Amino acid sequence: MTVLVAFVAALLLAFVGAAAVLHANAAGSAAIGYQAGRLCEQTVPPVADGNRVALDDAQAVLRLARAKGQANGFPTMVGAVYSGVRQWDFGGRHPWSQFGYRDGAMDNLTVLEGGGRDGLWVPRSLADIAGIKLGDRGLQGTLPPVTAIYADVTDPAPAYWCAEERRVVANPLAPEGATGPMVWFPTLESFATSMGPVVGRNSAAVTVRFPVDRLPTTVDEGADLVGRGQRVLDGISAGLRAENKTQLVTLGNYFARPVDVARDASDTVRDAVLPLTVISLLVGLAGVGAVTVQWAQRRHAELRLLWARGAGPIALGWRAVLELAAPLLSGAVVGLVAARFTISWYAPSDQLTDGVVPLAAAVAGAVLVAALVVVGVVTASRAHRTFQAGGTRRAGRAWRLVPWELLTAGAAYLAWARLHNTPTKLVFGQPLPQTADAVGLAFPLLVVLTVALVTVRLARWGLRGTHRVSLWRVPSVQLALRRLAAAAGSAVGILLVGTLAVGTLTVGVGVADAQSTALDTKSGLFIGAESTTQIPTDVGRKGLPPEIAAQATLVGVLKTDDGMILVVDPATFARSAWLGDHDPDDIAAQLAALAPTGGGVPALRVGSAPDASLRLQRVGEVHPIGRTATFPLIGTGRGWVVSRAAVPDLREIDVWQAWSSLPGERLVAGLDAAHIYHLHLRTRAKALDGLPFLTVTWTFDFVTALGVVLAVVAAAALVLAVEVRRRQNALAGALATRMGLRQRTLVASHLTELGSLAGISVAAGSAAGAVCAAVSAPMLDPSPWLRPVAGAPDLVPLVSLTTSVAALVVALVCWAAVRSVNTARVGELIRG
Amino acid sequence: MAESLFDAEPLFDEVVPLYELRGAHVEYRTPAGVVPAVEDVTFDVPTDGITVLAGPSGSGKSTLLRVLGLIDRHTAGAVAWQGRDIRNLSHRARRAVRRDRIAMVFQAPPDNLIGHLTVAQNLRAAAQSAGRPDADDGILEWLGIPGTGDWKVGALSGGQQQRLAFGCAMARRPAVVLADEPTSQLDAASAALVLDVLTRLAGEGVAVVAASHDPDLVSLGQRVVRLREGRVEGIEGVAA
Repeated sequence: MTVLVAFVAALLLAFVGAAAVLHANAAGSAAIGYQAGRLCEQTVPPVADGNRVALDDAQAVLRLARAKGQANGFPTMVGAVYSGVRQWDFGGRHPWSQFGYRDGAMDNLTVLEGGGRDGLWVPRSLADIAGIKLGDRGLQGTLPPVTAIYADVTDPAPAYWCAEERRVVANPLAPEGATGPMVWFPTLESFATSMGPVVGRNSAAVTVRFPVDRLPTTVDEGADLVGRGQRVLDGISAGLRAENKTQLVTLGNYFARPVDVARDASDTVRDAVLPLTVISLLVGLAGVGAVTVQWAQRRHAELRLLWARGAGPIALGWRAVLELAAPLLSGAVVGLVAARFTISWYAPSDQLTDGVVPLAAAVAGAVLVAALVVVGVVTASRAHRTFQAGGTRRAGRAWRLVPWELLTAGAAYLAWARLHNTPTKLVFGQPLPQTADAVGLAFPLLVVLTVALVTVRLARWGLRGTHRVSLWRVPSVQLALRRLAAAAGSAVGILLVGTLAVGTLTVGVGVADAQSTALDTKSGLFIGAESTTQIPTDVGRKGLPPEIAAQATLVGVLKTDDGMILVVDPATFARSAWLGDHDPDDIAAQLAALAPTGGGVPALRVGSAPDASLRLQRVGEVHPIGRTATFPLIGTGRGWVVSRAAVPDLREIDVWQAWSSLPGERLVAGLDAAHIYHLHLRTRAKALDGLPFLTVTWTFDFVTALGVVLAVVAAAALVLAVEVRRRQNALAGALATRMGLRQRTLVASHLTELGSLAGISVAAGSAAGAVCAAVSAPMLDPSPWLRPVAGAPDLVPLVSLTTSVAALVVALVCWAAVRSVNTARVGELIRG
Repeated sequence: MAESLFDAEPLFDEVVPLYELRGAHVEYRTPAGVVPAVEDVTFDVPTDGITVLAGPSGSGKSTLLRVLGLIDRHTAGAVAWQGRDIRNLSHRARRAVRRDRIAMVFQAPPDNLIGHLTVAQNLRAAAQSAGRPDADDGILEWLGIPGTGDWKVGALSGGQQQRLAFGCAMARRPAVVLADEPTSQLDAASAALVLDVLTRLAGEGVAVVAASHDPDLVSLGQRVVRLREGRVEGIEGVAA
């Protein structure tokens, strides 16, 4: 038993220590992955863009960039040159269009007609407008012949095109001349030959991309990419500076900031989980100490014999280390291996930086050494106390006199003050802050720790006072109290670990859920639906084709000085928009009431919109007939929702959008199939940079994992506490039952004893965790100005589960205790 | 060696006995207050022969034995080991005396042996704990348990275990063997064999101090210190 418990204790210790290191590192990797996933793949490596450059200069930039890229580990470069958007001549017609060459462009287009790679490739939209056919030659026959008609690149652009989307995806909704269909040349040379004489001085554009086979998955890989990228950019810059042409291109190393953010996220998670990790390790080491005490009790005769033969406390400490080293070492190795191979269960990523596993192994090793030191010191001090100092326990009493709960309460207050007073940082153009505060994140954990320590203090006082209590009228309670008081150390230890376990579990799940829900809700309100995209105004006015209308709804968006006005289709809105906690039937009923009445436009006012009729630009007289605090897209801002049927002239609506409850790909696929142009696809999943939320969530996910570990420790401690006293409890119980104690009373006494420990742990831990999660969730919300603020999570299912598991553990341990009484052979126990 | 650890001059001038007790007191602190266990005890233990501390339970026999074994400290009076006062000896010095000069045999036979070792390994461990390489050859025959060297100690009977305990004590080549009720947990036949070992041990020139109320063991004592309620009731034999 001792060996097994030592093994498990070392396993959990090594697991916690190694997992903390791996988790923090994985948080950095997850942050890298998350940010890389939000960026266009080709803008993760360095980029160079030049507008209004001479064609010769553009070609020089491409040559220079290719050389610098290859010298710095970017063997593949995708360079492009573009003409301006003009009304170029095609057989006498002059549609808005542009010419370009891009490395590999023809490999990434869908050919509809032809396909020869020795001529121009024209998009279907341009071919239709200008009547271009295969073999035609533009610009009065000076261009190469058209050898292919390709399918227009649409929004969202595929990975190869994402960095060029602004140029390549024609926007029919844009003003004339702002964009145009792209005609592709087969080679750079052909582009230069044909376009050189006509693009004019400084009117070409050049772009340089360095696509990589594999995006960085860890902070180190990201830093390496950024470092190499910077050397490429420095080389290009130096080359251009030599010719005094640095102004030709804008150089970008856009992933440098995400790498810094990922480092910050990793550091934040590490710092935030550090306090609870340390506490968990201390609890684990205390467990090792308890195991050592049990070992010393079992080996008491041998230790006394060695003592009598002249061995000192230190030698006896070494004796304990020698015997327990094997199970501790085995447990630590298994714990380290478990932490490494179960990382996908508890960490946000399984990608780890090189060198972090050895670091985790070093931490596990340090924890093992600490455990061995505890074994040696506990044995030595116990030997000193028992054999040498006459059984005094002054040190233990001194530790108990320290007001630990006041210290942790003070630390919790400081963390709260920090959380309350630290302004969150905003980045321009990004509605969310980029950092979460590690000290602030520790606040709920410190509160849980304080509650656990207060519980322990009260329990200790209570147990000390029970010797004056006589409850023999209820013998089961009296027996339970006596057993608890007789093993007060074990009882308060179990209470401490149990309350910590349930508290951290509750606060971990609560805060993580609250942040996840908040991100979900904010994203939903921010976008309005699972996916939205802008569509032509004529489609907005006429309505969606039936095959699309079954999956989407039309929403007109009008931004006025008075607020935002949404023009909705009451029949389809509720089933397609993101409604969060709103009941779709309620929303549908409210919107149905917006039907035109003949006297003005009935409106649903949102947020702080005034409860009075008023005249709104381009909509007319609006009569509010209802109110809602929040509404998709408007959020908690000020606005009105009107029915499209009530708007006098739908041509007055600037922007029309299709909103759908389907993923973005399916929405645009449906629109493409219906030949409806679309632009600016936005999805709820990518609406907001959720990294600050995720940082909080990752932190508390690990808190949850630690809570589970602590719960295992608490359950094991309960089993151990019963097992350690199994012999004496069995003897006492067996004698008591032979003297008339009823079986029912015996069972009830064990249930009372174990149930009170588990019950207090669950009650105190759940209460502390739930209150803490409710209080801290809004404070930990990284974007409180983006409503709604994270609120109190629903913890009823978790508390129910915790209670059920605790009840099961109590029932099992109680069964084992009663069984040991019933199967006890009194004669052997007395003689033993 | 142990002698070098004593800085004080011998307290007494006559031929130096192994132990000299003069008005020794031992008290224990308990939750109910200070309890005297031994009061004003005065006697000597010579360097050879069997000395028995006799008396009923609670008379202070085991307490005195622990003081003589340098495990507990006396609280008043004087106790000398080979002429030197032991009261102010450091923990280290007391351990050195216990390691090099004293062997203890406890009441319960299993308490005197390391359960997971064999008989031979126990003897070797005992010898090595006193800085000696191994027990003498033939010690098992001397103890009356020949051929049991490879046995786990659990395979021995209680009497055999207790004889092995004296064998371990012998293997340490001590100046004195302190035995606390060595026959109290044995049947008469086993006790007789243990007494035989004890007698032969004394015959080897080792001083033996035994605490017991076993009449057979008491009758073996060349000196018998009778104790009652912590005080010396009488001293019989040559030491008187």
